[in-house]
Amino acid sequence: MVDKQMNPKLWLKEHGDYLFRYALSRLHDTELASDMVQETLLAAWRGHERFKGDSTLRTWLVGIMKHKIIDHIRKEIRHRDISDRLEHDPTSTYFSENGSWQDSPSAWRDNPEALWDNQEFRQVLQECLSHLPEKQRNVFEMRELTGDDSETICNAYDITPTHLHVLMHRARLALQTCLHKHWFGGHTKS
Amino acid sequence: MKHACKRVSQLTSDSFERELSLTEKMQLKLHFAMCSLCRNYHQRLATMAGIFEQMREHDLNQDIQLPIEDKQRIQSVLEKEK
Ligand SMILES: [Zn+2]
Repeated sequence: MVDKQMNPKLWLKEHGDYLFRYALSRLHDTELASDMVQETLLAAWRGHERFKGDSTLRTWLVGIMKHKIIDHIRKEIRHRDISDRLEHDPTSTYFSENGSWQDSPSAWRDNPEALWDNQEFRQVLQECLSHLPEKQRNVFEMRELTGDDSETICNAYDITPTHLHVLMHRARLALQTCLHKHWFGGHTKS
Repeated sequence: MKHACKRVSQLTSDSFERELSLTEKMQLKLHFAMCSLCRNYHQRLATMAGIFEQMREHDLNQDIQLPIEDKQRIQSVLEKEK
């Protein structure tokens, strides 16, 4: 059964699109994502005797791709030096001098399932995500969209867990503000 | 209680990232008991967490596919490798 799976052309056919989306959701670059698929399948094929069949083939391929993506991000950081763009604390704009809320947050009433089912909302969400500063966005998406653990993310971006938590906090503040502005606050509900 | 809400907002976010210490949990609880704004903020973050959970469950952008010419290119690369 395992032998029958050992056909890279079949992997491409069955998992190529999935791997492509996986890479794209983290790298936001179609050409790069496509290269990642190629590299992943090549590496998998070269090392196919290491596939033990104790996970699904897709899980195994994704595992390989994950490493490739992390390697890429690490190299990218070294090249472009985006590692230490620690801007001034943007959270201060959300609070007054004495640390109380600038805009009083109201409660949101919709439930997540209903929101997710709403195509319009998903567009607003994508839009808001795309407005986050690059590093916040990358880290936040890796954490929330692909569900990576902090260790993986800290490793990829060469940051400490504390730094990660600060970035997540900033991203959440910005994102909920954007969502409120473009959806919950202005959206008229029947 | 200076800077309370600002500090609490970081803790609130942290509660989605890591296990808070007992002291931190108490701080949150006490603050939430008297501050509806931070309660609302927590509720917003919980809603967002729920949305991302949905997002993870449903394969994101299912309509996006690896371009056909890329598929062909990768296929020929793989064939050379055999
Ligand atoms: Zn408060």
